[in-house]
Amino acid sequence: MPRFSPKALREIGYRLFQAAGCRPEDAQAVVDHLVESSLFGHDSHGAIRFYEYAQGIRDGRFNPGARPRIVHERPSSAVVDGGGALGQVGAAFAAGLAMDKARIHGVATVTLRNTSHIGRVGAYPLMAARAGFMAQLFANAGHLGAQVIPFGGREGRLSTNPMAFAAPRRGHEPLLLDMTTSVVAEGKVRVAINRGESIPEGWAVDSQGKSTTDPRRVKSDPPGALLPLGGVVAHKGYGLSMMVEVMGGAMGGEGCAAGAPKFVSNGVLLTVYHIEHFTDLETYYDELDAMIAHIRTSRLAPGFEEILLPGEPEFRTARKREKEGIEVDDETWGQIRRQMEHFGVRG
Amino acid sequence: MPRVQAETLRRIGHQLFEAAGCDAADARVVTHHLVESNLFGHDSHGVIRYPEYMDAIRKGRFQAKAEPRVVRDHPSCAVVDAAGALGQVGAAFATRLAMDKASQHGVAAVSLRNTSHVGRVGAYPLMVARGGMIGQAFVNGGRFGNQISPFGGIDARLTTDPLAFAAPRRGTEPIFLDMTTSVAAEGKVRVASYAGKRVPEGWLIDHQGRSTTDPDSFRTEPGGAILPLGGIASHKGYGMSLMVELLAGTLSGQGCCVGESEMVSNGMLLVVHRIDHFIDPEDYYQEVEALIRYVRSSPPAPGFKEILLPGEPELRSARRREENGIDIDDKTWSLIGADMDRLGLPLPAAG
Repeated sequence: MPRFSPKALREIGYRLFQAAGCRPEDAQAVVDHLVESSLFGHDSHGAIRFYEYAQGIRDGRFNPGARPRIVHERPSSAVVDGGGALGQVGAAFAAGLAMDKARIHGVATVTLRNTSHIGRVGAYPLMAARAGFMAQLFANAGHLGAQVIPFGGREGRLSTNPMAFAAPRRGHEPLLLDMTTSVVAEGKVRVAINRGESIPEGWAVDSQGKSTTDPRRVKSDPPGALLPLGGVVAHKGYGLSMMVEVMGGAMGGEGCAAGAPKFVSNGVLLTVYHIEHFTDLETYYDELDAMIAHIRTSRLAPGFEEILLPGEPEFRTARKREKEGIEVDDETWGQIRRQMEHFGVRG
Repeated sequence: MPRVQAETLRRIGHQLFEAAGCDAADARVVTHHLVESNLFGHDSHGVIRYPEYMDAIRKGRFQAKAEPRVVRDHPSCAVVDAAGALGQVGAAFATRLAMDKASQHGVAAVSLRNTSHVGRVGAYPLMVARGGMIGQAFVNGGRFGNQISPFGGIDARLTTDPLAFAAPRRGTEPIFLDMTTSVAAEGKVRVASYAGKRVPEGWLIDHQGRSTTDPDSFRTEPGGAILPLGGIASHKGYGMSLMVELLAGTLSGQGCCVGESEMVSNGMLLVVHRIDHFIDPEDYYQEVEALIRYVRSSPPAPGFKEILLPGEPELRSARRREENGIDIDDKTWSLIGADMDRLGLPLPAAG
């Protein structure tokens, strides 16, 4: 299994996507996002997607020359149409625009549609937090939606409807929350099927609405579905999911879950807050540090060595992989090589 | 147990709070909020608080005459200091300000501090949605907090950190979500304890971090903790709790949870979006209604008759109780009577 330094992997990605017709800055938005997913340990959203996206460009699913376009604009808000570009291109553009607006006006919201799949939703609030803002993001899957049951129902009617939040810390990587409003992401069920493993009780139901630990019964025909977040209070996960539908889908302009069989694009709403419009930055950092210190005085639960902040596991994996490199499985590397050959990129 | 009409409870509230020094508009805000809690079925946040608030005014913990003041003002954001007013007075002021700003600029964020206890958090996004816009609210307990364990820990270190959301529908009441980022609100554990009942598995751990259904093992020293929302994925509830702490605590200036034992005031952030600055309202309403029809097309799970929207159980309870009246326990009714008596006001007959 080949192992790459993140830098080498990025270089490969830049060359591949530029050869496929992306502008250099767009190739960078996509590749940096995917390599960061690998660094964070989310390999299923990482470099494995190089060949899938390259193939998507060949098949006409993504338009590498498209530019996101501002459809409406006001001082502290905007509506962006991704123009069918790669998802990260539209979302990075929207995040940059929201930051520019928030810096002047204190708060800004930008919505985004027609942007295919934006990838790891936490990436965009993280961009904002690294620039000193707090940010919140909602992303639905447009009219798609049959993976998650509504509370009180037994068939899938919603998508995993993720939301994300990030906030800067003094002298550390930001606090980063990136979560689906279902118990788990759908990808984890696929991974269990591929590995022939069972899934924990409480993740999913079969097509009859009965709890199951067999991941194949979730992806059978007729399919089962994932449960909304919450366990004994799953009405809360369902409520959060409906909030994401309204914010990302209805406000974002990509539409809400309606049972469409094919995914077209995420619908996205991103709100950015400029901290200094509300409070002094030093006060902000003091409050945050005091809270973190307080939380960490708790005794540990069995099986835990320390209390981590949201995002900390990912940043630790990233530091480790920055040093040790990122492993890419042979199958994925073969696929990437074939795409490179197709676009005339030397390995 | 007397059964009292909502309108009667409102009239009593107006009289009490006006007599205690609130101006008529403020008395109305507080009273409507509390009676709506009863209507929604959340009796622990309803008129049971009349005597408690009256006592807080007498003792100077709540300032009946305080006027909320805008301490930082920008076109689409502001910071409000409620100057120790009753919580609902400060929060309603901040909500109206956010609505005014959002109707001009499409989005607005207003933070609020020094406002004592804002009550049911969902009330404020609901005000926004009834005004045709979308509202979000995040509320922490300032520096107070020792109820919820962090993910990976067994000691209570956070508060219930609620968040709320409401969005308008065409021709009917809004969708609204009002939830703690812990499994359960602290009040529900207290209610179970008073009633001598157990709580469901998955709510609590005792002082040793062991799962328990005994509410007193949370409440008596050395106390246990309520778990963050999420069950087998409770790192998500913990993450949301920290998000609420940051949005509500830092941006308002009320501060974040550091384990103080007394709550001085909630910190709050209100975020309002005006729909037609982002999308044609026709498209918005069409998508939302189509979503609702689609979600409801799932067959119900065993034990359920139908699939309800977030907020629907509360709104149904309100229709029922508006018509039939609200049962008030004897103790609360006599405390309210004592307050009326003290002010020389006649207590209206129940019924």
